[in-house]
Amino acid sequence: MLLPLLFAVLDAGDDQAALIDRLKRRDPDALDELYKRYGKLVFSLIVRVVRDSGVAEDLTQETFLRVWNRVQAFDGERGKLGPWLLAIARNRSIDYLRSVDGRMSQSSLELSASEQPGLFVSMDEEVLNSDRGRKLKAAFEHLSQNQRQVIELAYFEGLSQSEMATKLNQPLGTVKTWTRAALKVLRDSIGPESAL
Amino acid sequence: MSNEERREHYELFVLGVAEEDAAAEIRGLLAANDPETVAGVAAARTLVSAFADFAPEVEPPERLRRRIRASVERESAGFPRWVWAWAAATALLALVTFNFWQREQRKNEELAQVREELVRQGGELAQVRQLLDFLNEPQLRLSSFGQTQPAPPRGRVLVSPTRGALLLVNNLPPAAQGRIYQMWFVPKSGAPVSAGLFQTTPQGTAIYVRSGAVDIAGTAAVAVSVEPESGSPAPSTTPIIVAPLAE
Repeated sequence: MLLPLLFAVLDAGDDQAALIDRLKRRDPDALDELYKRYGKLVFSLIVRVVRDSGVAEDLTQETFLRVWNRVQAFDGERGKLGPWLLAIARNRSIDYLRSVDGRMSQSSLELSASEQPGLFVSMDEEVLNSDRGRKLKAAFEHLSQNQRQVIELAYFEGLSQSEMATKLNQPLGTVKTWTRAALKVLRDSIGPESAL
Repeated sequence: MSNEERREHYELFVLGVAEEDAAAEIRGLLAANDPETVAGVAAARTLVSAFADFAPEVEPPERLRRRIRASVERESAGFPRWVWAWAAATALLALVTFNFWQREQRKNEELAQVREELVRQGGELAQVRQLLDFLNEPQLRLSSFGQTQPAPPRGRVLVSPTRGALLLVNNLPPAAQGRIYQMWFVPKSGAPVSAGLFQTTPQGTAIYVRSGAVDIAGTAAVAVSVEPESGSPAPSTTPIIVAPLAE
């Protein structure tokens, strides 16, 4: 289980601000520390997406270097480093999948836009803790097979609902229902703080 | 659109898999800084970022950490080592070249000084030869001056009927700015005739030769006066040196 690691690193607080500061000062030890905190999580995510450990190593390196090169624009006070790093890791992996599948399109531009450092501010401080994380993981494991499949296709493969419907050979409405239900279960599992 | 539907769209938007019309609407609301949309997308981002934990745990190889660290250390170190080595070699070469150039410059300066000295010494040698020739003249007439004065210019005048007159003087400070010393042949009758202009050294000495034939029999004395820089047709001041030519 990655959960303890995930929530330990995603909720690091002041320690994280100091780490961001060191990264901005181009301290290689800071990147090493970032890798110690997030390396396993990032690598696991990327392996799950690309299903090739050699490619995953390259993409993991690219992910950390992208953080290293773009951290100057990151808000050290309000930004959340973990979500940003994971967004980059996911986007690099899905971009790779799309390039292999010949699915490169404007979606990759959208993915890149979705990892802008400025987007990772004002996020919920309280959601990323181990207790709520465990609940989220448990909720995911209790989803129906179809619900879990659509979440995995969306998150790990970057498929839109239309693409999922084609892939699963199901009506779009059915896929939308599964998706909506799955997201509600997951959202509810981590409590009302994240609700609108 | 219900709140539930809207939240779902935020999450799909964050996942990057929202349908284009919904994504365009959210982008527009975010651009307009709509508070509900901003908060909704932030909450969706918080939730979705935790989906990474749904991936099975895989231990990365140790070499990956070293690889990542090495890639930023290379960057932090700046240019590759060979660039520094090349820069150092270039700097050393530049230093050696500059040093060589400086030495060459010094040598050229020293050479120029030696040339000037040779020219000066050549001039002095010619002057000495002229003096020796003068002193070897059999019909030479000698006259001393200044011997009896308290702080006078002192020296000798040697006059040859064929070679001219030689003035040797010391204790005569250089003439003031805009002034010069002028030598005169003072005839036994008639006005003094200019015998040329000269200046003394800072040490107060001068060796001045006026070449050409001199009518010794018709000359009573050799005199020196202070005159304007361009010289005068006749003495304009009282002569400071008067050396009578003995019969």
